[in-house]
Formats: sequence, structure tokens, C-alpha cells
Amino acid sequence: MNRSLGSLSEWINGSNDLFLSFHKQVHLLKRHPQENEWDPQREAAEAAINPYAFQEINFAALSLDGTGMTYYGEYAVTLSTYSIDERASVFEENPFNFNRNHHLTSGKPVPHGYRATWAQRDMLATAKLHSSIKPAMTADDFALVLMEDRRSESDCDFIEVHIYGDVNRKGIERVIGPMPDERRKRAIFNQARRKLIELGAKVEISG
Amino acid sequence: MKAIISGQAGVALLPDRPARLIRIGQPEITLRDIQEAVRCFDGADDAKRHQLSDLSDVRIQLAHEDAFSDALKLLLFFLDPSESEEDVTEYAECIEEVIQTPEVFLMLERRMYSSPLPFPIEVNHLTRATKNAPSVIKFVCDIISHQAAISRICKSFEELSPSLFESGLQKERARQHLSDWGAFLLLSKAVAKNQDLSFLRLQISAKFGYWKEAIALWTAKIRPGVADRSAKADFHPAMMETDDEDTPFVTPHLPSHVAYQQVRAQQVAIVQRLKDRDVDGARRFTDELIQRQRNNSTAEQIAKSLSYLATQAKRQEVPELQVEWAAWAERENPEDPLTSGHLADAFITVGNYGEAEQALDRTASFGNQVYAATGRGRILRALGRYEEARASFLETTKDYEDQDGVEYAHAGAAETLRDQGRYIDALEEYKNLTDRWPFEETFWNGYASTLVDLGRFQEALVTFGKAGAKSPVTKNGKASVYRQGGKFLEAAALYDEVIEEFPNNHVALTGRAEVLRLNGALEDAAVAYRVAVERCPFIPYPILGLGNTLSEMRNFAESVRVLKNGVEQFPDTPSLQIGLAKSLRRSGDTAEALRITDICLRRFPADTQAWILKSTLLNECGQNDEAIAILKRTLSEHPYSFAASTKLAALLIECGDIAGARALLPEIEPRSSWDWTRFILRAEIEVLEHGAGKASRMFERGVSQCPFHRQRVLLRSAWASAELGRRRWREARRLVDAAPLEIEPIVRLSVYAATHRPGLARIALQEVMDTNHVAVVVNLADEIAKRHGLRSGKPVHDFDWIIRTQRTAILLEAA
Repeated sequence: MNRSLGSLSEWINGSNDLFLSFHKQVHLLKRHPQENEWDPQREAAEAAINPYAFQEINFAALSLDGTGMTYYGEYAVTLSTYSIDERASVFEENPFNFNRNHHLTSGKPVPHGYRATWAQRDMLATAKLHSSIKPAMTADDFALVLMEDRRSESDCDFIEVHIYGDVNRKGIERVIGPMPDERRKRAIFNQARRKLIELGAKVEISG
Repeated sequence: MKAIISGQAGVALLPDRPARLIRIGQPEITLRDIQEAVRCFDGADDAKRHQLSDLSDVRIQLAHEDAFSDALKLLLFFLDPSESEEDVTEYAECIEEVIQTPEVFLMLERRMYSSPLPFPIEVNHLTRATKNAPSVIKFVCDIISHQAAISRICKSFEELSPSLFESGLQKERARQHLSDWGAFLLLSKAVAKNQDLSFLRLQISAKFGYWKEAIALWTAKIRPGVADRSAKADFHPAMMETDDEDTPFVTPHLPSHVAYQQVRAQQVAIVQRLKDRDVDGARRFTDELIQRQRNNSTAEQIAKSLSYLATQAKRQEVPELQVEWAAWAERENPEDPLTSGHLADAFITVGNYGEAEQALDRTASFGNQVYAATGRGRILRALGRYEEARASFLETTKDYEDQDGVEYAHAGAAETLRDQGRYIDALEEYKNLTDRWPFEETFWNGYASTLVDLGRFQEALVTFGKAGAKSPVTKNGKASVYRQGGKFLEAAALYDEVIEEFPNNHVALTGRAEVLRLNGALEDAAVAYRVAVERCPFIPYPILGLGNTLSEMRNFAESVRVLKNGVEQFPDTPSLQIGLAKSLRRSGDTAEALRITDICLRRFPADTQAWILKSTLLNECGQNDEAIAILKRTLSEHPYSFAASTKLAALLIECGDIAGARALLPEIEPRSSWDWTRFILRAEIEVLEHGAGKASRMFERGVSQCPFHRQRVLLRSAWASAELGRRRWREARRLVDAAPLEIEPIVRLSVYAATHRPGLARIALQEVMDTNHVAVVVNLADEIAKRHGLRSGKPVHDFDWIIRTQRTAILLEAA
């Protein structure tokens, strides 16, 4: 899960331990969907993929190297497996792209073969990426097959993780992100780092 | 340019195609689809939509939002008692840097005043850590000192029912908007200072009209009504300053500087008591002062002191003391024309014209002929004898052409032209006067006021600017321009400035109340008018305003009682008699209204308003020809009378003379309330000539743009009625449901009955019967009730009759 420093700090210091899904934020009055144009579109796209549970879903990306989609935020949060393994599934790609590529609209069934349980994530990855796997590849190379290297770009391809229910901050295993240049952001980062360590998470500073 | 910005996420999205994403310090990214930006905002709860002028503004706003988000976090860490002193110091210094940007400081201030602090703060601990952050500790101390007010305001908001906002979600949304705009901050500061909240309430309601009802309830719970001046802090003369260094008080037995200081303090103390309308206190202080002076001063010096104090009483509008001290001054020095002149002025102010005449005679006999002659003109003018008044003023200007003080006779002559409705002549005369006396503020103010009479608001504002001085007259004049142009916030701000300096200024007090009335805050307006009545007991206009407001609130019994008392107290003021007759008419007592109007016309045969009312009453009695004749005659004598021409146009529409009505309704961009009334009439003509479909565009524009509450209500009512006439039931219902309080009860009844909502229709019917006693409306309600089975009996008219009569009732009400 990638977050900006502001959102990460908010999650770690907020009065609620849980990271709420977008829809729960709306229901618990933290966000106002009418404030912007895309929220209704978002609802439509997510409802097409998970018609009965979309309001409960939090989104993450499958990664082998712990650094996620920096396009969504510079700080990559790795969640401990035990906190999500019984309630997560994996999906071919970002629902917006998927809907576009498969001409899927709300109400139409999602075609089979693009989703797997957490335990079967390797099967989905193989089905999707087998053509990119070459004999000479090392473990490091696999990371870039699973999630492309263009992680700060919006169209970078990855396998999405759908986590049913709220994500507790105690489930954070590791955070990787840069040490900010600005003094005030450094102060916020240092405070977040202390809190994360108190929670039992590792914090790594990336280049 | 539209932008959605989140400080927490550090992202700005420009949603217009092609959508673009902006991050601080990075080039913008063009997106294939807006959905590519969606998750950049995940986890951030501060995304807001902004309307900005260009890309650089977007970047600036993003930087501010980002800095604010950081500052808010750092401030909460700073206040957290579990943080170490070293970290607290770091946080303080970071915040100190950020809040040097005023926009960020304001955002932080607004947020911190929107909810009470969650835990007690150890200020000493913080002070140690903030050696290099003085602004931060000051800010925190300010927040702590305002906690009681913040808690009170937040608690009041919490107690509001979510149904006032439609839902809990909407209530939270309202809270966030109010917080971002600074409503919590402004209210907390005002409550902490025990300031009047009505202007703030007006500001907030104007900004968030959608939640007007909830805001009214919220602010009323905090502290209702207008501030009580007696609640002010103790007065310390030494802290005060007056604007007049030229004091006449002399106590020669003391060393000069000590004497000066003592007199100055005493003078300030008296003026302060005048401001507080503490008549007994001002009287006691003056008695003491004169007593001390009597040991060492001549009668002439004592009279000068008293005349000076009488002038101060006039400035602060405490006429009973003006009369008392002016009379005392004359007794001390009876042969000085100045003392009798001041006394005459005081008598004119309180309407005691007989005594004023006698005092003017004495002024003339002791040598000040100009003053006496001008004073006589003023009395004639006050009595409504405008022809004689003008002749008197003109004679004075001719007889004493080169003498000092003759300019006031010139001003009187020009003002009388305004009284007569001869605005173009008045304008010409003022033009000549400003050419001759370019530094005389009175003439510029008169010139500007005449431009206001003619509806030339922009020129009036410029001309008030030329008056230069920031006198209450100029400020009130400007405020009146804003008020009449529907710019209520600007008007209220200026009135408040005047009231701050002159708390009994009747023009500002009534103007401010009128602003509230025009904005639809009738309860607040009534409270403000009652304050004006209390503070200006010798002025009739606050009573008139109060009576009119009560009538608009449909509290006719109280309105009639207030106005009757007013007429008894001010028998020479025709507007009070007209106000009383209007209130009687609205209460259904047409015969009594006609009787009072006739009495008024016998006494004041030149009064335009009385003739217009007479025509309204005749129209209601079915004598339309006579009513039209009266209005045509009035209009020939007063061609610039908006009231007469508008009323005549309404009558002509009713009688089917559309061409005649159209000629009286110029197609100008509406600004004043009269312009909007004419706009309503023009829309009605559109309905008659081209059908309701075309007119609905006009109605829609009017409802969304008209700043005047009453006209807006009539526009919405006329629109709903027109939709009913087209049998567009859902549209009519939508208009009523969108703002049920902004629609005439008779139209609400009609719409609810026609759209099968019997319960709501019965409530509306009861409201009509309880609050409207005009015959045409009562008959109409009865007919609608019978037609839809709300009452027993057979209807005698068809549906088209109902719509026609409804529209006639709206026309009558509008004009």
C-alpha cells in the first residue's frame, strides 16, 4: 500500500487504529463524496469488479521488493501476511484499466480467470505473467516482472490486492520511503518512524 | 480553473479534460483518464474543490494546503504531553516557519478554533520549549484563552438536529465548510469579546444560504439578539480620546495643564455616558462640571460649556439632554443668539416646533437673522409644507446672500426638492452648490443622496467618496447605497462602523435593522429595530421600521399597537400614519385603513406615499379607475416616484393594459428592490404575452440572483404559480419543496392541494387563515380548499380562475 507522508502520519496518529476504505470514510463522515467528480465514477468501477463487497475493500499491490506504486505515494507500507491472508484476494490489474480493457460495465459479470485467493496468488501471477519469465532471470528480476519498474507512472502494470475490511495499523510490517528534505516534513517523518517502531514495524529509508 | 487539492496527499488534480495531476515541485502529469488520479487521494480526508484563476494559483494553493496540513500535524504533536522537550522544540520551530505565511496561519487558526482541545495543555512546559517560536506560543495561548467560547460554540453546533441539514452527513459537511470559511473562528472571537453577533450571523447566512435556518438556530443558541452596551467593560476616562481638542471648559484656579487634563477627562466621561445613553450619569457629570466652573467662570463661559455639551448630545443623538443643556445655556447667557439658536435646533430635533419658533424669534432679535430664517424653513419642511419651506429657504438665500451660514439655507432648499420628488432639479441645484462650495461635505452628501434617489448607485458611491471625510453621514450614505443595491454585507459593515462610534445614531441603527429585514432575517430585524427604538426615543423611523417588520412577520396586532403608539408620539410624521394604515390593511381592516389614509391626506395633501396607499385601497374595493387616476396624477407631479410607477404598472396589468404597463417598466439590469419588483411585473407580462414557458427563464434567473428576500419570495411564488398554470405539477411541487419558507402560503396551499398532499395543504391553509386577512387572498384560499375537499362546500370557480386570482394577489403584494 503506498501512501503520502501526510496520509501515513494520519493513519499512524489518528484516533482510530484502522485504515478505513474509501467508502467507509464516507460513511463515517470523514470524506464527502460530493466534493469531487470522480468519486461516483470510482464507485461504479469498483462495484463492477466487486458488486457485493466494494464498500468494504481496501486496495494494495502485490510486490516482491517491498516498494510499491510510488505514483500513489512515496511511502510503501508492507502489511504482515497474518493480518490479511484470510481476507485478501488478488486481481489481474487496476479495476479502471480492467473495465476499460474488457469493456466491462456495472451489472455485467466479471469474466473468469482474473482473480485468485491470497493463497493462490502465485497462480494468478503465473497466468498473467508467464510469457515474461525467461530462463536466466534472477529473483530480483521477478520483482520487476510482477510490478513494472515505472512505478511513479500512472499506467504502470501490477497485480492488485483486494483486502476485505479495515486495515489495522498494528498490521504494518514495514515502511520504505525517503527521508524528506524539508525540515518540517522531516519532523513529521521522524515522529512517524518512532510511532511505527513502537508498533513493531521496520522503517527503511530509501535512496 | 477547477482544482481538487489535498494537502495530506500533497496532490492537486485539474479535472477538466485532459485531466492533469500536480505534485509540489514536480512537473504536471497529463492523465489519460481522471480515474488514474483517484487513488492518489486515498487515505487523505482533506480533498477540497477550489476555483482558481490559473496554474500558478493552483500551485500556490497546493503549497498552502500542504503547509497547513503539516502545521496542523506538528501543532498537535507539539501539544501532545507525551512528546519529549527536544521534539517539542523542533515542532515549535517548524510551525514558527510555516505560520509566517498569512494564508497558512489563517487556515490553522480556523481549524484550531473549530473544536475544543482534546486534553489540558501544560503551558509552562511549552513555553520553555518555544524560545525561538514566539508566534507559536502566542497562538497557543490565544487558543487556550478562547477555549470556553470555542466549547460553547461547538456544543451549540453539536446540539443542532441533523434534520436541519437533511442528514448527519450533510451536517458534518456543513461543519467542515463553516470551519474552512472561518465561521467558528469569528464566532469564538466575537463571543469571547462579548460582541454583537447579528452582523456575523448575517455574513454567515449570506455565505451559506442553503443552511440559513440551521445557522440562525445555531447562532441564536450562542447568544441571541443585539449586544447590550451596558455590558461593556468599565470605563477609564484616561484611556479614552475625543476627536475634539477645542474644549471650552476652563478651570482657572488650577495650573493650566492639570486643569486641561481634568476637564478633558470630564468631557470624555460625559461623551461616553451619552454614547451609553446613560442620561442620569451624563447629567450628574455635567452638573458637577458646571458647579466647579461656576466658582471661577463667567456666565458667558458657562453658557459656552453648556452649548458645547448640547452639541455633543446632538452628535450622540440624546436630544433630551440637547434640549436641557441648550435651555440651560440660554438661561446662563440669554442675549447670545448662539444659545437661543442651539435651543431652537434642539426643539426642532424633538419636534417641538412651537417652542422652536419662539427661540428663533429671540435668535433673530439678538442679531442672527440667517440662522433664524433657515430654522423657520426647517420647521416648514419638517411639517411637510414643502412649497412654503422651499420658498422660505430661497428667500433666505436671496436676503442674506453673502452672509456666513447662508449655505445651510441653500442645502435646505435643495433637500426640499428631494422631499418633493424633484430629483433632477435637486441634482442640478446640488451640482451648483458643490461648484460654489467644493469643500462643503454636506453638499456632496446631498448630491450623492439624490443620485441614490434616482437609482444611480455607482455614481452615488463615487460622489460619497468626494465628500471625503469619514463622517457618519457619509458612511451611512454609502451604506444606504450598498443596502439598496442588495450588497448587505458591505452595508452592515459600514453601519457597524458608525454604531461603534455613535451608538445612538438612528440612521445607522435603522439602516442595519433594515439590512436584516431585506435579507429575510425578520426576527433579527425586529430585535435590531427594538434596540433602535430604545436608543432613539425621539426619532419616529425606528418605530416605523419595527411596525413594518412586525407586519411582514404577520404579527398584525403587535404591529398596529406599535404604530398607533408611534402616531400618538409623532403626530407630524405622515410615514407613521401610512405605516399604520398599511398594517391595518394587511390585517383585513380595509375600512379603518382607508379612514386613517384620508386623515393623513387631509393633513399632508402632498404626501406621495399616502396617495399610493389610497390607490391600493381603492383597487381592493374594486374602484380601479379611480385608483389609476390617482396614480397617474401622482406620477405627473412626481415623475421619478418608483413606488407610483410600479403600482400603476401592476394595476394596468391587472386591468389588461399591457402596453401601458410595459411603458412604465424599463428593461434595465435589476439592482435595487424596486428594480426587482419591476422585474417581477415584467415576468408577469411575459407570462401573459408569451406563456409561462418563456417566463420561467426570467423567474429562474430572478430566484437565483435576487438578493432581496421579499422579492425572491414573490418571484418563487409567481414561478410556482405559473408552473401550476401550465399543469406542470411536479415542477411546481419541486419549487415549493426546494424552499418552503421562501414561498407565499397561498401558493404553497395551491401547490400542495393540486399535487395531492392534503396534510401539507391543510397546514398551509391554516397559515393563510391565521396570517393573511386581505379579502382577495382569504376568498382564494377558501375556493382552493373547497375545490380539493379540504373544506366542505362547492367550489364556484374553475382552476384557471384560481391561477389568475393567485397571480393578481402576487402582483398586488409585489407592488
